[in-house]
Amino acid sequence: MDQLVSQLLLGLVSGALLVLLALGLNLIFGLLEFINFSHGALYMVGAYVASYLAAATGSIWLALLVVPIVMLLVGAGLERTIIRPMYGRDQVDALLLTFGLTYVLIEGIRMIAGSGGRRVRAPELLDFQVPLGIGRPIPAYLLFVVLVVALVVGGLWLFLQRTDVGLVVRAGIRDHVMIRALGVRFDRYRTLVFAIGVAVAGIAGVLTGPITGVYPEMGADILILAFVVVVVGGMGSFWGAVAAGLLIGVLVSLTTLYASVYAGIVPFVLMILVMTFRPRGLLGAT
Amino acid sequence: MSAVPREGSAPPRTALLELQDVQAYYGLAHVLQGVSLGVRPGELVALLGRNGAGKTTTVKSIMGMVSVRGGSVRCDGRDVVGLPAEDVAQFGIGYVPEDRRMFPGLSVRENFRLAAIGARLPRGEQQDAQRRALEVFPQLEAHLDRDASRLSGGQQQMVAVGRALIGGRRLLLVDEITQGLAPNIAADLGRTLRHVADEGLGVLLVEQNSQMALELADQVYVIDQGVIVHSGDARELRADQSWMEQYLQL
Amino acid sequence: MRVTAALVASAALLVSACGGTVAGGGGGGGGASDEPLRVGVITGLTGAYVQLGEEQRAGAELAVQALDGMAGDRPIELIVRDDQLKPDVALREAQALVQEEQVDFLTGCVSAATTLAVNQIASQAGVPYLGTCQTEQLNRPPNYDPEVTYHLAPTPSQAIKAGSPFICGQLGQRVFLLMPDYAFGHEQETAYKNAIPQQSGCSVVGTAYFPLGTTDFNPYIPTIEGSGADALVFGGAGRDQVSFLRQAEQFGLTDRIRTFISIEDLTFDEELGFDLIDGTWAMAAFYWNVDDPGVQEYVEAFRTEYGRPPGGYGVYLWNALHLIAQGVEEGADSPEAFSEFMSGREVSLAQGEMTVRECDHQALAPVYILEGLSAEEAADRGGDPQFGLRAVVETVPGTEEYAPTCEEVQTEFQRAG
Repeated sequence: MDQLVSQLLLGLVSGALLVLLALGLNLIFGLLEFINFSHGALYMVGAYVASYLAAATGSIWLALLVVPIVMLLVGAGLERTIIRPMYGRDQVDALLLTFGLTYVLIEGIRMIAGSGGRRVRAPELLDFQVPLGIGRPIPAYLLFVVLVVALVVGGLWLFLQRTDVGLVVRAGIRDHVMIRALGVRFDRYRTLVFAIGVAVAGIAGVLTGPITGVYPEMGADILILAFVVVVVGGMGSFWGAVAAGLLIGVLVSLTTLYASVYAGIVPFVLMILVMTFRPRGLLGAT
Repeated sequence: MSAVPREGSAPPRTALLELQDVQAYYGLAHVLQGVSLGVRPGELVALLGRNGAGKTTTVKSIMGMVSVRGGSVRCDGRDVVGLPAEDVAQFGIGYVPEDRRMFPGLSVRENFRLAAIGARLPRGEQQDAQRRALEVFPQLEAHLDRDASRLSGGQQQMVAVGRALIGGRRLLLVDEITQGLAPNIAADLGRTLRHVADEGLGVLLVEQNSQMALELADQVYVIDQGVIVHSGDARELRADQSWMEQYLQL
Repeated sequence: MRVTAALVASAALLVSACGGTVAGGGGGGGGASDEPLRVGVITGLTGAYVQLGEEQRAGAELAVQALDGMAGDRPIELIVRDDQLKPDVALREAQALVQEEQVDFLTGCVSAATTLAVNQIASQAGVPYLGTCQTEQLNRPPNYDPEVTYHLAPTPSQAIKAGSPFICGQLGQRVFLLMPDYAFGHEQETAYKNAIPQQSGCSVVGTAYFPLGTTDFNPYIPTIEGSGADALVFGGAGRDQVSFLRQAEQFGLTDRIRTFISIEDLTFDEELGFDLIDGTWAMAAFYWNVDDPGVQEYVEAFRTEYGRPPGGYGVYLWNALHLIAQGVEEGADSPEAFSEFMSGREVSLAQGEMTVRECDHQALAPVYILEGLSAEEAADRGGDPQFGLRAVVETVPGTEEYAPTCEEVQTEFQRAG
């Protein structure tokens, strides 16, 4: 029983980081209508920026504040320069463009920082284990990650629900032609949403650093899982991405206990099942 | 054929909206082949025509939603061809699209707020904008926090018109408003539009329900195969309805 | 993708050009005996193991330098090609090396999948191939061709047989295996499940697999702990190792369950750093601070050129080039003569004392058991403050004891017909 609880909790932790990546991906897909293939590479860039900041300041605290801002600017810059010309063209063009961007970013980082990884430490303050009363103790840093993810998810949700920008984004996801006809300057919101998506990926990068280290290809594998989360949760569905991320985390964790050989394919099996029986995703709009 | 406007016989200078010889395309299809019409303040203009005649395309060509490759669309005398929809809207134009286009998940209140954002009203004036819409459609007061896309067809249409009125302080473009509505609800909406025009707005009403439109309108244009084939004063056209058979095959 | 292909192609061109410059000055006028000796190196210069591939190239180039560019009277010419870790690319490149470049020898490889492809071409063309990946399959039927196939790296089972007495004797009797979910991981699992129960009182209490490139090892922690293991063998390499040890440390797993790394490499050690490596054990076929003149000759050459000690993959190429050069110098420049030269050959090169045994051309070299050090320990022992991350605690000599016996190999060959 204790072991099952531990597997479950750690599954939630694993799912939490997936949720962050999936949410950004989902938001960008929803409003900008293309799949941002470079999302994983931008997550990696965020992690690298954090690794340098952490090296300079001794911990990731500052990075947690600075990286989202840096990535917001990076995202806005990318959208204004190379992504904007893709609108109105076939979606495949934007996909290919961001595919190319991925490799440019990875190779760029390799040139700057080398092919090897960089070490990032969890803050010393969080270097202990928290006994939860049930199951094994959990490293404080992982609980901190879950907390930050919860804050970001909650903040993003409030932002989408309460602000004018959020309103435009929610409406634009449904029908961006109509919001333009109402007079909304859609271009600005597109820039903003892309930037926010990238910033959230950056936060995920900062948080991941102390868990896996930072290395050029770190975005590749997790991006595929984030795609799966988006599909399983339902394209464009906020809580769908959250639920699917956590669900996949837990399923993988439980499979690890009983039949680890299959743990890797669990997300994909789930995706096939969802696409077959519920093509719009678990919480997707109908 | 005297009713077809001759080249250069422009509507009066005071026109809010003036289309001249508009040529519009969907891809390679040449949909509008020279449409000219005008709307003045306080005037309700009906654009009639069969399915596929080019009515909706005419409205979309005003909003910059189809590619106009010839002629001009003037708002307040300024050519808006090539401007994106969000800039055209800034001339005080409200657009009520065909099939209403509610945003699923957005409440009535949010629809109005969105329109206020689109009209670039300062935050403080968003409430006033909503109040104006509710003055026109007091029935919506009770449904302000409901998902607008789940309201009845008539209520949705009210939201669509109310929304358009927030930004459309000068001109409303109304596309097929009565489609799928019960006759009494359609008539109510029609009366509202007439009322709005009487208050001083220009209204361009695209309708399949020619009879109703004819009764509401000041001015009527008939479009067929992308060309205005008939036009005139609504009162005169009401008197002699033989043209209806000819152009609308009714 | 076309751009990638073009880049790879131009990189390959550059690489072969560089290879050319390594060629020794060599003596003047004609005669078959001082014709250049052309050695084709196929390794992964792009893809996941790019560092390992680069190191193999370095190992080969340094060997050529150390040999003054000569194999007897013949100047050595290296032609290096990238297999991108893909069997089809390896096949194509090996074909090109054999047909267009007319190489006399083939060597190199960092991934087991490509080594079989190269071996196939080598066998068809009758060009000796000195394989350098740790695989069980190269010198077993149906791949083994006694005319051309040699295997310089240890097979996983060889290393594991050598390492298991230490695991059971020093670390713990209840062993959990955490293995990467691909051929190499499954080969390791089989070998450990054979070797560990042979140690008295020792058993495998659980096995889990993780997909290659796993970044998230969190779910594995309670699985391992729940098994009741007191020792853990981690079979992943490279990035997986870094991710795993980092997370294991966060959970305090390595403090409670003694952790043994099946595959060690300095590149990743460096990234792990002293604090993650401290308190773990590992085994390797090569470690840079092994006290042996042959090892140190290579380490010095590498350090002079690159300012740091080598990892564990270049050594096979260094050895391969030395063996080739020595063979050619002794007149073994035909495949038959080389086979004769190699069979039963005892040399002392950069892995220490090594024998290439006759029955399957498998190199039998020592396996080093390494202890991870803390920065203070390393300093106390006068070790290298940056690279002295591990120290040898035991050297298991390369003998038949740890490989399948030639008899077993013969039975296998006969069974395969």
